[in-house]
Amino acid sequence: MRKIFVNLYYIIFRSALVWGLVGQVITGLTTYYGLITLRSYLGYEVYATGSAYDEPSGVLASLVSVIGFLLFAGVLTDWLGWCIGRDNPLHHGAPAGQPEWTRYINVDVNHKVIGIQYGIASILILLLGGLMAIIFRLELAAPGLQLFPGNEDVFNTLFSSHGIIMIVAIFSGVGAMTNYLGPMMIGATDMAFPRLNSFSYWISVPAASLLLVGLYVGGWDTGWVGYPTHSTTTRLLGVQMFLLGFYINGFSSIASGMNMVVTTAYMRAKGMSLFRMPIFVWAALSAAFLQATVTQTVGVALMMVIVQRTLGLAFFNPILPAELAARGIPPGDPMLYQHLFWFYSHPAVYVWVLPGLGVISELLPVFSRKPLFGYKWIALSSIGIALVGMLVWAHHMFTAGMPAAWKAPFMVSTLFVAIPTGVKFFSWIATLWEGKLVFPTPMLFVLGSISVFLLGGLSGPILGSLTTDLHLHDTYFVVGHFHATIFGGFIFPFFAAIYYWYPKITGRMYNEALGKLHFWLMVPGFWVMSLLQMRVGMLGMRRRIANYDPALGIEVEQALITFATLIIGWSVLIMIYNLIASMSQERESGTNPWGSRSPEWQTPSPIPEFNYNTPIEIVGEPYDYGIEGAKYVVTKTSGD
Amino acid sequence: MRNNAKHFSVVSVLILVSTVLLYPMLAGNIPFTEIVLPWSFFERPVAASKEAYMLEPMFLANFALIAFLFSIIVVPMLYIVSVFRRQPGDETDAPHIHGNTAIEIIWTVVPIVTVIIFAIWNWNLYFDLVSADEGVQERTVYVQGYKWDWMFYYPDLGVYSPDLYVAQDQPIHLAMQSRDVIHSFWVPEFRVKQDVMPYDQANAEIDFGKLYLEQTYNAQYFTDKGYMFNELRFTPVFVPDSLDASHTAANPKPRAYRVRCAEICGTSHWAMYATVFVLSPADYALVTEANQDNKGNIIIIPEEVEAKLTDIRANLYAEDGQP
Repeated sequence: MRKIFVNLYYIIFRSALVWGLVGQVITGLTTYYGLITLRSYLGYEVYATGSAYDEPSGVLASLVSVIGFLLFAGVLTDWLGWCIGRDNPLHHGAPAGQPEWTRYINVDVNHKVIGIQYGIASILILLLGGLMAIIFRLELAAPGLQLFPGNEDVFNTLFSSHGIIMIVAIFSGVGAMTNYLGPMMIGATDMAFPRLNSFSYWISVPAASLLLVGLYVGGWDTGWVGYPTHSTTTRLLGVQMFLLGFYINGFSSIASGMNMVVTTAYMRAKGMSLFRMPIFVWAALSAAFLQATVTQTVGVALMMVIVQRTLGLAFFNPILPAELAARGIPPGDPMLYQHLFWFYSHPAVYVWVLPGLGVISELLPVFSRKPLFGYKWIALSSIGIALVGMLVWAHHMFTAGMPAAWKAPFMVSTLFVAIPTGVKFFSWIATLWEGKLVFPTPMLFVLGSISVFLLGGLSGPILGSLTTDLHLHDTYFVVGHFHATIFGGFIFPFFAAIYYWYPKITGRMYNEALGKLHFWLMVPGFWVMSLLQMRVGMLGMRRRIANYDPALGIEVEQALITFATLIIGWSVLIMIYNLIASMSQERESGTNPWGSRSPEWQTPSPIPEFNYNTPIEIVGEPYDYGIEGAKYVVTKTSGD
Repeated sequence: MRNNAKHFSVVSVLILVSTVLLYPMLAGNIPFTEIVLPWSFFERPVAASKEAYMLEPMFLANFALIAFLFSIIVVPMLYIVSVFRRQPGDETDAPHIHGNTAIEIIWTVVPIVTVIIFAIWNWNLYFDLVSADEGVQERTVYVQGYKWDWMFYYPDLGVYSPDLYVAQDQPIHLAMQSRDVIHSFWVPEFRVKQDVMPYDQANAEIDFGKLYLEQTYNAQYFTDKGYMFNELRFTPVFVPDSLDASHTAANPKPRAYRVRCAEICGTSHWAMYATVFVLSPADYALVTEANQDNKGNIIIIPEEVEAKLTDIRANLYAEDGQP
């Protein structure tokens, strides 16, 4: 009993998380009401939109509240100390006088702690986003408005926030895998910039809380894309919190991307040449390169909408007030936003998918006891996907009204993405061929990922083709394609990674039976959901509608999609139970339960603070399964 | 090695069989025959425009590609999972095969060639789809989208209409503009879609249809004034009905399709419908005649045409009450 109170004390009074959130609320509310008072004192019209909230004050207060979070949580303490000449060495381990587990709710610089923080945040946010999906899928289970009659704005808010909340969750998941595994796999002691790494994680927390505040102040009905002129004119004020939350989360992406690129460049162990890195590092590196280079454009686009709404600069507004038009001021262009937005948001998909595909390539050799087929080709295909992916953005705008001639290059570049992706598929099959396969839960999830990502991949060309896209654009076919790509390319590999590295992280083994139950519920459930989404889209079901036309004849399919969504939701809960319950079990996993050659499995579980008790050296190829006595990692002992 | 050749030939045969079985299930027809299956996974809405027929080969080619590529990955995977399992007690590794340059080049080059062929075919087809046929008189209709409805304007008659009335086999050219936010004009049965952007530079409140009333019909005038339109072309065609012998290509009954807004535009986006009525040329001539002296008003549908539409309207609006 006393232990519970002590733990609660640490959580409530001594954690950076709670301090940060309290700081965010205090600074946010103070700024908000201060600004309102100031504005009404100066004679401005407050609550101009006729709403209970004052939009310009809310925007500024939100920005200030993010800084408030960082200050109160202590994320900036070391850097501020440097400003006044204080020498702040890196602090390793739990905060002074606190138990070890409090590291995970405090600002910590160790890459493994940050990886776990990202991972837990990712799963919690996934649950939230999934809950929203289940609610609006219940509405769509049958024609007619059942849950939100006369209140479609709630439905529109739910699918809009489902989108962006899932994106935050997926970025957290990418951060979890990259942070935890990247430095371990290249034999480094930590990331290159540990403080920046911690900043990348903590800045995403106030970003997420802004999105939640957005739900409270009215929601938003723009979809996660937020196209003007709808996003610039919608009366739902949550759209500002959505834009700001999205914008702030971008800092997390940029900083962690830079960090990973630098870490891979400078922190590799002796002998770890680029083509000897575990294949996951290549995938994470490609994704990090994208994160660090393209996120800025969506920041520009979002900030322009924020400024247009708050200050009235008409970047995207084709309809100018008559007095401005009379003075010869040129109008804005709503298409500009779409270009800026998709220049980031298409490659963003590859930021999520590349690490997932890296996990698939990483795990297949271990469970088939064979070398990875065509290692170099797979490594380069990740870079290829990243580079081609930066040149395909306008395929989201084939029906938007661009001049016809602009569409050809984007169609060609889009179809070319199929080539490096195909290389990966063929190499996976060749890796499995003649292998000696075993099927524990992570391997099942990897095979499931390949099958699901295949659905996403095969439904891609028909959308990338200019002509067939005229029919399929903005239908449920796109929804099916997109979910298959993200589940196959990120969610399933992420779950495979969780099961696979769980013994390394905790030193315990998960429950195999529950893991298999999770797999056999979720993968078939997902197949049903995604394939039927494609089918109803082909038949005429549009995206983002609160109610569908019964004349389309898709009632059975719609009910089945909702049912499959519920199955998927339950299966994820089984995984979470498994992960928590297995932690206190006595099933010791040993150092290397899968017999992997990768560096991280050659160090004790759980892993020491600096990863390797003695520095490692790389003396061979990473995937030389099947050669007797072939060495990859050797531990240097003193005297060598 | 001999074993490998055996596995390889078995898998190749299975891939072939799987492709041949899968394609009809996806597409709903059997190639090189006239047979059409009663059910298929990727059913399309009924083809009601010339464009839908032009697009059909592209859809079928994509389905064939999907059937083949699905088989070439999933069949080997299932075969591997059932054949190449580790035997109990076997702790050794599998053979050390790290790659094969020839195979890797093949599976890079063959997709590149396929992609280029698809791109060229798409590009040619796209231009055929979106450009006007030479020597054919198009009928231009102006379209305005607004939250959450559509308005049509016939410049030759000078009348407005909440629904679109067109004649079978008459090429239609839509010049579209939005009054507020982005909408998207989509009739699934026509297979073509175009976003409708708010381009009006002068004033959001302007009713652009009224402007045409005062001008002779001259699209160049509006282009010069800085007006921009999103354009869409389609030609409604005869849709056979196996249950109704009196419905023939020469003397067709009216058909109705729904315009569905495909771009999220706020609260009632889902209900942003309009109806396209495809009339026989004779019926359409009656409509034209009835509206000769109706400039500036809502379109008049003559009695004898309206009588044929009553049932259709009742069916369209019955189920969810949305016009």
